[in-house]
Amino acid sequence: MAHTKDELKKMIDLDEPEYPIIVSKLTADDIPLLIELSREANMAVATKAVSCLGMMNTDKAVDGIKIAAAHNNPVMRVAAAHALKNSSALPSAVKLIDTLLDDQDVGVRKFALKTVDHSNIKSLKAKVKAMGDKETTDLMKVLSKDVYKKINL
Amino acid sequence: MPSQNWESLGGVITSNISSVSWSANRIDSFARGTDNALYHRWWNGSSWGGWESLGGVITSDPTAVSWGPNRIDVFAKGTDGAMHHRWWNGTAWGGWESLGGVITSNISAVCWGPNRIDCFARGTDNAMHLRWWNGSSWGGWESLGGIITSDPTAVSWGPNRIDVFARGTDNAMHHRWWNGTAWGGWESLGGVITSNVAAACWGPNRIDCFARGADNACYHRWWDGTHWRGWESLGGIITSQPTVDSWGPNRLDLFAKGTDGAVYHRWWGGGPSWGGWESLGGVITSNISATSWAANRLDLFVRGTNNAMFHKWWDGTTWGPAAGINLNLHIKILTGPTRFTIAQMVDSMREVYATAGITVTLASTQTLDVSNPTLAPLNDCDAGTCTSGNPSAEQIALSNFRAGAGSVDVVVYMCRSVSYVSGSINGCASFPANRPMAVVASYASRYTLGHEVGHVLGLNHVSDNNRLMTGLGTDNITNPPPDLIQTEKNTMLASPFTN
Repeated sequence: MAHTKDELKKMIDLDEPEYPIIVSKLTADDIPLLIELSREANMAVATKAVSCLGMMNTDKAVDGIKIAAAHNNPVMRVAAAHALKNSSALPSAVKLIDTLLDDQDVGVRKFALKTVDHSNIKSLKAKVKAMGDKETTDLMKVLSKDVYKKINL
Repeated sequence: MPSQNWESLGGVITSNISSVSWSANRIDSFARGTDNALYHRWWNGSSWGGWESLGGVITSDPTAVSWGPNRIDVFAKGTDGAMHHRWWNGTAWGGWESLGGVITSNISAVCWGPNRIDCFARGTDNAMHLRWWNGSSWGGWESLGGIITSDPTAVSWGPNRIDVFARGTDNAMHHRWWNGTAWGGWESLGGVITSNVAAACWGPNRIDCFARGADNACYHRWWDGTHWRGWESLGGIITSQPTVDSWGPNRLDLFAKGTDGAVYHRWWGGGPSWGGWESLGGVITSNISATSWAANRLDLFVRGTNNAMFHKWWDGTTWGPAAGINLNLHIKILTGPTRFTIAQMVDSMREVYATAGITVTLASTQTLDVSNPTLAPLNDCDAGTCTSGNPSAEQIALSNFRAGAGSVDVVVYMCRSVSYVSGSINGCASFPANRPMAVVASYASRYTLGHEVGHVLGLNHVSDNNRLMTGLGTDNITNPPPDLIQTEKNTMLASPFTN
């Protein structure tokens, strides 16, 4: 049985949520309300709803993350890029990660790269290789090259 | 900033402080705010009121004097260069009143009797000028001539007596005096001084003058009723103008900032020699304002590195506030909080930590440049597993930005977002050895700051929404302020980061 919105909010609005424990108590029926919570103005709630959606690992949940990935607040796009690491077996998630690797915000690109690394998404290696040349900060250059090395094995 | 053993009175001030006492256990302090208005805080004998804005746009340090109980007169230069005046008559503030002129220095004001005020300032001709209140009207402006290269300093040792000091173009100290009938002077009192003059009178026909010398030591000249004595070197290396106060006959307390930014104190008790120098600690960014409301009582006011006003007092036996347990907190901002202000978060933390007897001193607040390529990617901090003693590479990278923080000071980095291995979090407190720190996200709750620093001090999560260390979300605290239980307080007090 799906949780109410208030119940879900109470479950996720923690300083340091233990997502695997929280998500183990959720079902696919909770996804619509998680998507609603991901649209809240309070980023403390919205980003955590996105993190939960990533762990739900379904196309419906990725649809919710897609909205976050297009959000004008980079905090939400960072949350989306990070959340996708737990949905990366889904083609829709990989497509979204591909988009986020091109994001104008360095924080978003960093977490998208880390998701590629975590999930070993070989289909994105050309883009990751290009990032190693394009990125202007040392941290991002090194990260891009490291990720490329790993996924190119 | 003044850390432990200085009381923070808050505010953000942009001038030196002027403090005055119009009766026992009463202090009024004045300073300019960031909006250039005059601000006022007062001690009523049991608590501090304020900060109260007294408005105006002032372009000099304020100068406050009192000629009697429940009376304060404050002077400052306005944007038009004129001297402006506000006064407290015991019931309400009058003013602002323009007293005209075009002045080029801070103002020195002195009261030699009830309902009498004499104000001195340098004019555009660099001469010293005087305006006075005779109890019913303002006279003036009167030029007292000379060419002075410092603020004037006026004192009075009795009714109808004024002595004024300033540095001349030869860097010597010069003196003019009013004897009740006429102005004498200018008289050169020699020396080579590199600061404004500080002067005090501890009895009739007695004046003690202090200034910094060319070697940055503090020098002393005094009028013993018959002759000028000195210059005498009191040593030290001072980096501010000296401040002197006398709380009784044969007593002088001298203060100045040292090379380490701390306040230093020497005193004279009537004997053949001076005591001191003793450090009173702190790191200050202003001159020292000293006032005394009773024998053997001193109150000092300074601005700290965070531009707040700080207070320290001598109660006749010891310097207050009593040495307590302190936590020095530095905030480094990559992205500021969006739901609460830093002041709200720090105040909320202070409120909770005070219940453990811990004073949280906001030792510095610094905005880091996130356009810096090294910092930009760290604005969204990946805290890794966020477990104690296991900081991520990004937390270690952030910990390199702890300028101004000591090894036991806690640095909190305010980031745009913080994530750990499985998703978004409000903050994380894992830190490298000898670099106590936490990261806090821009969307954190009011209590996340105190919560994360609680982890730094060794506290763990609890399942109780009425406690700071709740693992159920500090946004969900049911009965604010949240509690600390005794064992948590003991852990915090035993932490190497409280001392």
